[in-house]
Amino acid sequence: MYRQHHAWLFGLLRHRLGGQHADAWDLVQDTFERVLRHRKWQELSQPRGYLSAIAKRLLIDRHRRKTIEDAYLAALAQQPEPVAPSAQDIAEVVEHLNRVCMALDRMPDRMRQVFVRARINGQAYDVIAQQLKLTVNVVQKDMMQAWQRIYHAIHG
Amino acid sequence: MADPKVSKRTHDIVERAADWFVRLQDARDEKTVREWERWCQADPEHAVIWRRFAEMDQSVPDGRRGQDQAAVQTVQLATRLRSRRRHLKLLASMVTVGLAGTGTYRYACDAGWLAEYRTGIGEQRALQLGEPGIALLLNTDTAIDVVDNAPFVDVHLHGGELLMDSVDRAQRANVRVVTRDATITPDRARMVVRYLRRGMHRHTLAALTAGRAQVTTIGQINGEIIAGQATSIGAGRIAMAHRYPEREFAWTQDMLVAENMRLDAFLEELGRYRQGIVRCDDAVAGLRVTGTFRIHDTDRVLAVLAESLDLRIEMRSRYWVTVMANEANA
Repeated sequence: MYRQHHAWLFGLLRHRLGGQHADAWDLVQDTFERVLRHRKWQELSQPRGYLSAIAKRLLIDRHRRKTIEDAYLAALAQQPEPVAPSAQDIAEVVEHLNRVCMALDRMPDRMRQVFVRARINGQAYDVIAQQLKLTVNVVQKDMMQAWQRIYHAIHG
Repeated sequence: MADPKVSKRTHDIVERAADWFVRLQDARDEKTVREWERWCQADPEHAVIWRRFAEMDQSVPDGRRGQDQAAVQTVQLATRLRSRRRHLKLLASMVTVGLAGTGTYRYACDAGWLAEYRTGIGEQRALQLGEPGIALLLNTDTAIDVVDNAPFVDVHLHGGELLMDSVDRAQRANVRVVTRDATITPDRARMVVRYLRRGMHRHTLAALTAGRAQVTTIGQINGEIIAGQATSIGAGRIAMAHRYPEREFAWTQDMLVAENMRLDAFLEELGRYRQGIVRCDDAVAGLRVTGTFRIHDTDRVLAVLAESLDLRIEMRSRYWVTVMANEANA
């Protein structure tokens, strides 16, 4: 399957990534790795559809990670007491934030709104409940499930 | 969504731990704390997982903690940008119509930096916001940012031109168009909004052929605009520009309508659909242009202009065009 489809996927991804050969190649490898790891890939009748779905998810993840990295560096520079953490520290934080954001992406809208308001924005539960027209009980339940998902995004 | 690698047992413990985690945020009475301790000690895995929750409490940014602000801002930005996948729904074809004949395939995640959606020069793109959708059409060289601003959805028009059609809605939708000059809230309207910056000068224009719209300028001027006119909007004023809103919709049919327009203004408009610069000599800048032009082929438009107004088109390159008087007749 690799022999049959890797060139096609490479072409597709290279176009998507604006001509970046190395990045496209990495993504091709990642995509195939995931497919071969998880599925009974011999049974796929339409491997290209599946491959491009996986590749698209990886592209989105890559884009999100890049966005997070750029945003984090910019935010660091804007802090009142600018910090300059090591490249290693930054990479760890970016990886961590990427997983948190990935979990946020996959949450139902209300849950994500509740979590962002409560934890990221620091809003009190009763204020959230009032503004989103929910009960505090529901807010707490959403928070509980949100934390659960974030736990699994970080620790599997 | 459930990860097959995680056992049911672990999954249940994590669920319990999350419940304790949230409960202990504001219920720190003795009874609750003792119950939690009992749960922690009931099984070694409970304690392991609880420790991870405690670590998460430190590592996941908290808006109330000063030292977390950089990470907080990062997540805030990421969730704002993410909202585009909720609010933007590409039409089935996913093909952008290239006015200059270049069709390119794009995915929703292929956005310009901090602008959620961007069209190139000579490109148009159709989008739908939300479900059921409000139809959006972006014109050439346009950048928009769709932001979840509950209860509204704000379409920030950073530059360019868009058509928004919410006529078929049963009731007023909560989608607004925001430019640097004003916020425009359409009510079952068919509306074109244009926001262009020309050097120091910037200008918002809104034209409606159906429905109405509320306008609030950044200078806190409020007004309502109705179908049948094109309205010029600035920080401190809302004024009718002209009574022919259909002219402002011509681009949606790949056309450009000029009505006694100065040549320099016309070329500036035409230039939006062309890579590079189109200039004209002062000598001919004031000549008047009237007509309907197909913008699909800007070279052709220039040729037609040259012929009808007796001009010479000098193309130093494709990207540098100067329009001047035809010296043969000077």
